[in-house]
Amino acid sequence: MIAADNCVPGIAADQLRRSFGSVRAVDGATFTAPTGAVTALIGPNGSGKTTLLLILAGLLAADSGNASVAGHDLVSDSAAARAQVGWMPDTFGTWDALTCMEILITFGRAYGLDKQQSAARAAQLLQRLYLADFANQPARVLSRGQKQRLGLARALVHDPQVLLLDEPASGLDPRSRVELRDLLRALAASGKTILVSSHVLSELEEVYDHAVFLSRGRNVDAGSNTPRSTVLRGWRLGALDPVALREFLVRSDIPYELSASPDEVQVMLTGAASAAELVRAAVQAGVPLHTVTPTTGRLEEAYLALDEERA
Amino acid sequence: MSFFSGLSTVVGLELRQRVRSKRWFIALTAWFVFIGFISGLIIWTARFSYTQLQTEGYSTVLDINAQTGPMVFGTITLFVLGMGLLIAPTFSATSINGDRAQGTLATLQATRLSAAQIASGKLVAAWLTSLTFLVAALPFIIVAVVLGNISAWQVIVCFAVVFVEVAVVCAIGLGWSALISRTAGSVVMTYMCVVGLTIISLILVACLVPLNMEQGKVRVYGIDTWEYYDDTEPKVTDCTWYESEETFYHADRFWWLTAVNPFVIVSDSAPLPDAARDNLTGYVSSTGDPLATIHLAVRAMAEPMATERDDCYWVLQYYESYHDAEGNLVLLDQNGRRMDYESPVKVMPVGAGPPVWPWGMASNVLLGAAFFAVACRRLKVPYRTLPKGIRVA
Repeated sequence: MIAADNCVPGIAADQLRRSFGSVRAVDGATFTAPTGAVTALIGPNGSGKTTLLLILAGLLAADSGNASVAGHDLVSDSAAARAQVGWMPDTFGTWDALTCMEILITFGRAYGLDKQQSAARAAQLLQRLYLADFANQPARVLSRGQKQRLGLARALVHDPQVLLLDEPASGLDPRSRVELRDLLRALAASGKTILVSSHVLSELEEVYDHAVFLSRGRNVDAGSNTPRSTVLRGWRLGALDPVALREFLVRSDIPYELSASPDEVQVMLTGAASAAELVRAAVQAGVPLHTVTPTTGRLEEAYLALDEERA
Repeated sequence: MSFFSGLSTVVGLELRQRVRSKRWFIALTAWFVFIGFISGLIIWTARFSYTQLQTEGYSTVLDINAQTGPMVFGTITLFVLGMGLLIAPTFSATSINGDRAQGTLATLQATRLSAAQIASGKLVAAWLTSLTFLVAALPFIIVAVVLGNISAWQVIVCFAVVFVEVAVVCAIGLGWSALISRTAGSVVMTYMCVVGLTIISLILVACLVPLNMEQGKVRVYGIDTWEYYDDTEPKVTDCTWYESEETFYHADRFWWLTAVNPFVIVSDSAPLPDAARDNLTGYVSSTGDPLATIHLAVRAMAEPMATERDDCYWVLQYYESYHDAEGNLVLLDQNGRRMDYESPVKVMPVGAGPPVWPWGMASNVLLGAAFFAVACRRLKVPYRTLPKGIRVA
């Protein structure tokens, strides 16, 4: 989509494998994440997402396969690769006695910025992540969501080319999620490569450009690149007169399932165009429709398909 | 990024994290009061027993300060060393696995900081924290120095060596905290190492020396009791050379085990006061200076057992005996005058041999360096193998 062929991809992983004892956590993951785009990393628990992110963050060596971030090989050029990566783990601690400002300055220094640069960058990020009021507060007073935002600021302190975010939205209130989404879009627009893993698929839905589906440590083709229009999706239809709706569907030869709510049914449609067609026909037939909505997001559907495949 | 800017970043982070906690000030204050109490007790006891001896009529050659000063300074120094060895593990032995448990280590490893920068930053921070506790003892050391006419040189050397020993223990703790995932485990292992260096080394010597006894022949110049025994007073002219079958203890084979002991290293490295230089044995028995006592004991152990001995001078009525720097026996009568006797056996005075402490210090520093290297290796990312029970993040 956005990736140009002459561009070095932000992240390139080729046949990555990593085992812990007899457990194969990552087992042949191959994908690229283009620059200037948000790539979603999706998979059930234990599918190797966190391990994959640890490899890409330069903390874990793959048993075999290659990976590079911003053109730097993760093993042979580890320090340069780490300098280009901002990593936000799913769980992380903070230094309780240090203020938010000091934590960010420390990390700026750890990434090789000088004192002034670190302080300026820290102040800027605290502002951008709505933590300016807490600049001189110790990190231990922060709420979970605020800590999460501080963690994101920490990952951004050296203005990395590649962002690896492991469940960045967990613990965030709805408003912060929207802000996170906007921030990620803005970073992608400025040319950064962003890889986000999350279980909350609905929020990825609004932000991702590409998706990588992991299952048993391997990326699987879950139809993520298939055009929207050819995939059958579930739609929920609701009408003031549910009997009229069901009769209309029978007449039109559209199979349906009863929904949990008595005035609603579910149907499978191939895309938005067929949904529009159905609405027009139903209104013409005098069915008092009030709700037409996809039951699941694209990601969720793909994810569930993945789950079925696993089972 | 230069090595030192990364190092100072880690040191700053660690120190702020430690020093800002309230516990720190409570611990430091309690420690100050405690060491003040112990030092006061030592000074009081030493001076009390001196005056007690005087009132009981034992003549003491030296005045009260010269008599008790070295004793007080030495005891406080060894006490501070002991406390330093106890304190250092609490600062360093949880610094890697503790951070890992808190989830703060991996984010640091993911930065441009190298493993060596993180490890040395943590080592320096733990060392500086321990040193604060040693420096808190300084006022009491100064009291001991002023009271006892201790030379500044002796103070500087003693404390420099104590600081190095504390650094060694910090490095051992750092290594264990990298090796063991549970903080309790690494603290215990670090204390085991401290116990190994201090107590176990002594126990080993105490066991190995008797196990290695053997019979040997010694040429003795003296009166062979079985042949010459009669009622007459023995005379120097009766002395002859004879062979005697005796037990060799071979402490010289095992002295190096005591040399690794930090207490021995500090004691042996302490410059001796002028009063001790000519006659260490006499100085030790008159002042009870613990530094000089250990110094003498270890160097005496290191000397191989003599194959020739002079027993002849025993027949003389002398008040004090020692060997001068050339190894000649010097006998003094009760007026302190040198008596006319020339021993056929030269005995170099104990302590004149090469110092023991460089060996001990070198072995300790090597041990610390090995543990530091382990810590560096264990912090190096990307991890190829993860030891059991250790998570990356």
